[in-house]
Formats: sequence, C-alpha cells, structure tokens
Amino acid sequence: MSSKIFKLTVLLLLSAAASLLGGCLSMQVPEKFLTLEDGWFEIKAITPDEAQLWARSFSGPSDGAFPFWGEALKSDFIQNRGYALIEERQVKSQSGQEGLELLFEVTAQGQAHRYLAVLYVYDGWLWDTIVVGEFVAPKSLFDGYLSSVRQAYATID
Amino acid sequence: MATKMISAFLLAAWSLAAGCLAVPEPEGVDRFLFEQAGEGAVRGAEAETAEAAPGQQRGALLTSSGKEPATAAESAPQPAGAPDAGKRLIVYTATFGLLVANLEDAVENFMKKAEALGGYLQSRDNASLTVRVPAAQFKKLLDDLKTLGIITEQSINALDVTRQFMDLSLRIETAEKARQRLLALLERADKVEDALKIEQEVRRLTEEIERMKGELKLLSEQIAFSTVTVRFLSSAPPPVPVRKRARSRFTWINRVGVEHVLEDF
Repeated sequence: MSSKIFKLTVLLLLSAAASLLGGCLSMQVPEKFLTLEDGWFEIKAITPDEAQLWARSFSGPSDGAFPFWGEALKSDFIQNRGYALIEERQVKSQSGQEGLELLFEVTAQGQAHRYLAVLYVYDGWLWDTIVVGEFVAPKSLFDGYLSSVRQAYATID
Repeated sequence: MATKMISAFLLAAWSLAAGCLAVPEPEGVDRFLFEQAGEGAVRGAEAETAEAAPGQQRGALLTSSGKEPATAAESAPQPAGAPDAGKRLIVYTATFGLLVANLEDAVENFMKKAEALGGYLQSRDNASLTVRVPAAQFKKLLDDLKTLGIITEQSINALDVTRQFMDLSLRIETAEKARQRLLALLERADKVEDALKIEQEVRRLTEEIERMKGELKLLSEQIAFSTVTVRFLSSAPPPVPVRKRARSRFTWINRVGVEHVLEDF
C-alpha cells in the first residue's frame, strides 16, 4: 500500500515539475532549415548558407508580466548593445499566445546582419516561462527567409 | 617652280587639316587641331606661298574659309553617319540619389529595367550604379526610376554636340581630300626631296584623320547611349557597431542576442 502511495506521490511531483517548467518547447522548423537540435528547452536549425534559427525557453520571476519582459528585452538590445530597431509588432501564435516581434539591424563580425526576435511569456505558478525565438542572417540573405521564419515563430508553443 | 608649287600645296594641306574653315575655337578635343593650325601657319610662313600657290587651290581654300561655321557645315557633303539636317545631337547624362527600402532588390530591379530598354551596366561601386541606355529610352528609364523609391537628388544634363560633330566630320572629309591631292602630287614629283616632303605630309595627315575618326566614333557612341548614374541609399537606419554592453540584471536577457546566436549556436 505504502509503495502505491510513494509511486503516486512521485508521479504527482513529476507532473507538477513538468507543469512548473512549462513543458516541452515545440516549433515547426521551416522546410529549408536543417534541425540540429530539438530538445525540451531549445530548438536549433540552420540554413544551407548558415543563417541560424534558435528557439529557447527560460525561467523568470512570476511577477514579471509580458509587457515588462518585452520592454526589458528591447531596452537591452537598443540601449546596451546598440542594435537599430527596424520594426516592432505584436504577434499571436497559432495557440493564441500573445507575443512581441522585434526586427533589428546590427553590425556583427564586420558585416551587417538582421536579427528577428520573438518573445512569448507563459504565466506559471512559481515562475514564468519565457520563450525567445531568434533568427540571425547577413542582411543580404535575411529577406529570403523572413516569411518562413515568421511562420515558424507562429508555431512556437 | 615645282618646288614652290609643292610648298604651296603643303601649306594648303596644313591649313585644311588644321581646321582653317573659319570654325571658331571649339572646346576640349578640338584645341589640339587649332594648336596644329598655329604650327601650320609658322611652317607656312617659311615657304614662299603667296605668289606661288595655284589659283585653283587658293580658290578652294578661300571658298571654304569665307563661310560661317554653321553654313559651312550645312553646305558640306554629309559624311557617313552624319545627322539629319536640323536635328540636334544631344549627349544626355543624369545622376540620381534614390532612397529605397531594400538596396539589393532596388539595384536588381533597376538593372532589369535598364536591360529591358536595351541598356547595359557600365560600372558599379557598392550601391552606386552607372548604366548606358539608348538615347531614345532615356526618358523612359528616368520614369521607371521614380517607381523604385524616393528621389533625394537629381541632376540631368543635355549637352548639344551638333556643332562639334559637324565640325569634326567636315575636318575629316577635308583632310581626306587634301590627302588624295597630295597622293596625286606625289606621283608627279620629279625630285626625291619633294617626294620625301610629300610623303611626310601624307603620313601626318593619315594619322590626323585616324585620330579624328576615333573622336567621331566616341562622340557618336555618347550620342547614341545616354548615361544614368544612380546612388542607392537604404531607408533603414545605418548599422551601428555593437558596443561593449553593460550586462542586464535579467539572466535570460544576457543569454540572447545576435552575439550569442553567432558565437554559442
């Protein structure tokens, strides 16, 4: 009997932990991309010309709301790192989650790059799950992938 | 007597080739010819010409030199490739600054439009392009250009080269006639000294004719194809180099960004 209770307790704890952690990250990688990693907390994919797509989930304090994290991220990119903001828009994933999409231009490794970031915040009991999608490509390649990356961002869950 | 006749003809040839058709001093390329004319006059002064020149040759010279340049050009037989009477010959050039959303796309579209009009790329320097288009399509290309972005600066120049073209054509024709006369004279020359002088003059005239023909060809090409230079400017803010950043107080923010994607991916 006590063994059954123990097993049930472990199962409940695991379920609670999974729920607290926000579950498994998922994203439909665009066709032209090769998936390098598809784990619980991150998905990595790359194009033949080495443009990089990276989706990750992080944990943050539960009292930070979505608008707060959006402003914090934007502010850090612009104020601390000197990225040039090209476009900012509110997006919604296919599951109905509200998100923020930021398009930046930045010089990195001696070359002009464009960077498309998307942010979703999932409220949790103890902490929030913050999911960030990032796509980086040299400026000359970027536009060719933009549409498919945006479609992929919409599938993040 | 024969020597005097030859000297007189040589002077006449010099004068003809040097543009003694009362055409006023032109700009640029023609200056060389007028410098030659000065040289010709010096050389001519050394020869005994006044009383020795045959009336027929002097008459020919006077007839040409007595006219106004435009009249002379109009009355002269039209050389090959010469323009229709009354039609102006214009060399068009234009320079534009164009603000566009996407540099690569705009450059590609502009090239496609120029090629569709029969044009070709002359040079490219980063986001600055120079194309040549048939003169008849010049205006069409400028109209097309306006659809690609916002024009920030423009300069259109139309240079009328009708007179320069006619003048050059006439000089070539006159020099060729003089050369023919010299060749005829060469056949009748008795003395070796005379023959050498004539041959030297024929050589000089031949070189001069070739040079002028080259100039005429270049001018014709400039008339036939207009030049359009476009400096494309991106409407996106210029890339700012990544500064050494102060770290965010939020750990996850410190783990995202271009630098991390490029280095830690």
